[in-house]
Amino acid sequence: MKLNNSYRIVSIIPVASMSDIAFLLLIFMLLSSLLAPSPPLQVAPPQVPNTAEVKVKKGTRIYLDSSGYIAVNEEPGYLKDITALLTRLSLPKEQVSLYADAECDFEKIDEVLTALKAQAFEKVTLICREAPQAGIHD
Amino acid sequence: MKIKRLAQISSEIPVASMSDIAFLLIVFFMIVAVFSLETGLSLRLPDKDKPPLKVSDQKIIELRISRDNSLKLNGDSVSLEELGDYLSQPVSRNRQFVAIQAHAKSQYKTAVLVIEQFKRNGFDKISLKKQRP
Repeated sequence: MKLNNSYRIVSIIPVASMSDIAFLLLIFMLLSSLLAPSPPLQVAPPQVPNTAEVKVKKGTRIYLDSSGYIAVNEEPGYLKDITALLTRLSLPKEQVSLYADAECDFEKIDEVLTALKAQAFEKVTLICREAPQAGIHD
Repeated sequence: MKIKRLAQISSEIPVASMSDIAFLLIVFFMIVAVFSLETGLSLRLPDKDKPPLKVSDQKIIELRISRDNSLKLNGDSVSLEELGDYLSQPVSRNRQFVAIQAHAKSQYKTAVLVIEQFKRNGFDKISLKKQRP
């Protein structure tokens, strides 16, 4: 009697769709990641310990240095022109990130916040730098 | 005479190394990319059309930042650490609203550190304004 041959088990993993998966991953990463934009003004935000991490959305970014120069997104200007800048650029109103110099006078911050309020912006995030934590042996 | 057959030309593009290229691209992007994740304090701005909220003095913690960045809590001079200690005490819970008045020439850094202290201790109804000269 002739015995039936058992099925041959293939020991190769099919990798034909590997490139599709890799490209899908690549596209997903490119779409979902928000890359840090290069700042139009060099500012040093205040160092604050234990501040919550904020995921900065694709909203409006305002840079303010201690000498009164500002940049709204990529558009440079002077602090006195902030209302005109905010009006001219049609910006998303939900979220504003404020990058201001730690040594900035409070009146400049107040001016920015007043202009944002007048333009019906909803939420502002005061961007900080994380202060270095004290070590165990300190 | 035997006719020689021409070698068959393959019309397919070899895609065997496509996945290698794709993975190399992924690795490249992961190494090169600087992700935007920053730390900060979120504040909700008041509605410009709404009238200002009237709150009795007993419910307000008043903090003043003077020109030299010193702090006055309800009229008493305090340091930032003392402010944190006061806010962590249950007695401070009777006052839910915070009014921060900063001098025009005080530093932004001080205001941020003060706001952070309040937020850390669970106060989120914060009014921030410039002191009248």
